Amino acid sequence: MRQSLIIVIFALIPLIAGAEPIKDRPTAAQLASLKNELRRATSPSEKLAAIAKFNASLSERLRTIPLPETAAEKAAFADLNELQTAFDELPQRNLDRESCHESRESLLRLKVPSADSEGTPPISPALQEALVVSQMICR
Amino acid sequence: MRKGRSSAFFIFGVTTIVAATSPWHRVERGGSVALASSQAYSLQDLIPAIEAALGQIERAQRIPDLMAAGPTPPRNDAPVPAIPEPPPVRAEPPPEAADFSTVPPVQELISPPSPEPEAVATDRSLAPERAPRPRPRPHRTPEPVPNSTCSNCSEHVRMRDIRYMECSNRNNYLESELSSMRGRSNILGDLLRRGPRSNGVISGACVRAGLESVFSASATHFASCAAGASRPTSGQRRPCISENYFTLVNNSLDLVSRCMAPYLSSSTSEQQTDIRLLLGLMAQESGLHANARNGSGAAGLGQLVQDSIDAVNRNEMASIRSHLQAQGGDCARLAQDLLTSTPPMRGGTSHACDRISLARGNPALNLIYTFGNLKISKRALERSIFEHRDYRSAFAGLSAEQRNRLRTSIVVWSHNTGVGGMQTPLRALLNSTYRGRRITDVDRFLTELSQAHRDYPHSSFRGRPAVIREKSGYFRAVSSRLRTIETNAGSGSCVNL
Repeated sequence: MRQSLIIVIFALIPLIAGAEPIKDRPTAAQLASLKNELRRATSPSEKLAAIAKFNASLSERLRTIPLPETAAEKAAFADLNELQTAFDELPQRNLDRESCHESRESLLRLKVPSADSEGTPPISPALQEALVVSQMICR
Repeated sequence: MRKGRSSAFFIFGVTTIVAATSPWHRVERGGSVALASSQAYSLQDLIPAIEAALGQIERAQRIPDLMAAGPTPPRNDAPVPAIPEPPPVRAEPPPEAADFSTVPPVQELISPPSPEPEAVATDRSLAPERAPRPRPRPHRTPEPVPNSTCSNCSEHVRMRDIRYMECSNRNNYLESELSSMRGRSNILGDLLRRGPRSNGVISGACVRAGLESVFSASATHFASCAAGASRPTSGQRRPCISENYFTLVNNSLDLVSRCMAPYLSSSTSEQQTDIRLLLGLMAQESGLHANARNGSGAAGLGQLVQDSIDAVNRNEMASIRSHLQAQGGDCARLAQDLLTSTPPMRGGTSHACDRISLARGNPALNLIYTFGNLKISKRALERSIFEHRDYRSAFAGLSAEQRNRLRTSIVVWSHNTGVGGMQTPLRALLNSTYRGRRITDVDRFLTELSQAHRDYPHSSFRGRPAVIREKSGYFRAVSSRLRTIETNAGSGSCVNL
């Protein structure tokens, strides 16, 4: 009984935590590594270097990943492109107040128009990741 | 048309009497019917002429139906129609200064535009209805006034017979507001008092054609705002296209386009492309009507939504104000009357009158915000795509003119998709089909981009096939709308820069 419960709980964790936004495993691993580096970074230049390294690896991945064929591969490919779009809006040169403000404005403009002009437009998983990283570097 | 029918009946009656009293018989010959007689009668020679006359009358009666049917709309999976190279720009006098102080122009004859019944249902854009068969409308031709600045009067020739509608109590709800606006001393009052401008940046014939290109007279996708109200009354009919209404729309489009085009692009050729595609965008979004409103809350000429308005207020409004003030003349008056002495436009359903109310400055105000929104999109796409280190080489094989046309097309498209909604499929296309390759054909690329919207939609659109179809087909719809307007206006480019 206890074993069954543990299995069910482990199976439910992804659902509870939210669906995995980055389906491409190498990129998901790079993203996790980036967040660890940002937590350990002690200066703005280290943070910017970590962002630049991630962006470069993401560009390389987009250049070399096999071209998608199935619907699932296309969705994963689209997510990668969406991630690059979002992370391109992070500060590139410095982390002063103005750069962080402009970066945040640019990120918010990536929200797609809501079907209802009164409603809150949805935030994509890629944009959510970029906003989290933006928070980590622009505190 | 009534006279034609009466003549037809008379001739038919005569023919029937004659046929009843003579031993003629009908001969079927290769699908056509001919009358033959077995005896020689004095009226026999008249029969072929009577037949020909009846046939001509019948064909003439069918012409309005054929015109009302309009061109066959493109199928959804058809390639994005090539943006036709605009016909050679008519040799117009150099653009006048933005100061709008010329005497009202001479107006001359054109044929009325045919309504375009193309139905393209969209999420944000309004769903147009099939236009009814046009009826002859009485037209009022203002007294011609000499215009000493007119050196090439071809536009005047086409403006003379702009046909205005007779208003009924179902569609005249804007007339009293327009009449009272004429008496005001602000820029909108001036625009109304000057009469419809000919020789404008956007051809008046195209504006007139655009006003009937999407919605029939009985369509109810419109709203009105009582004095001082912020929430509109929906379900109104398409406004009466009176002389006042046409003058306001025509002159607002002209003035704002003149003033804001340099804000969007620096060269005249770029501005020409910008204005032309923007005309197609506005026609697709609202049929060029100031008070169009859809069920999701988008409203006005550009069907603006809250996010777009907020972005312009936050990021562009100060620059827009400075730009207009620096232009001087009527551009500066736009800034003063619409952007400085009144509060900023607000989004949301409860403030929709900010986007559609004439007294609030629309359609000019809505158009200024639409330009501002396009500027935001253009800047973002320049940085993230056209000048991006990973993608700029893909565009290196295009000429400056091709590159400008492609860029403007994508920017206009992003008015519907949002910058984020455009970037996902666009980057996916560049990173797949165009990996290591250059773009050589703008129209093919736009067709492929339409497919990319279906293959690689933004994650927020996934699982919503109607939304994906709308985003995918938006630019095709804009191009098609623009072609229809230019055709119905008598061909030639709609833009005179």
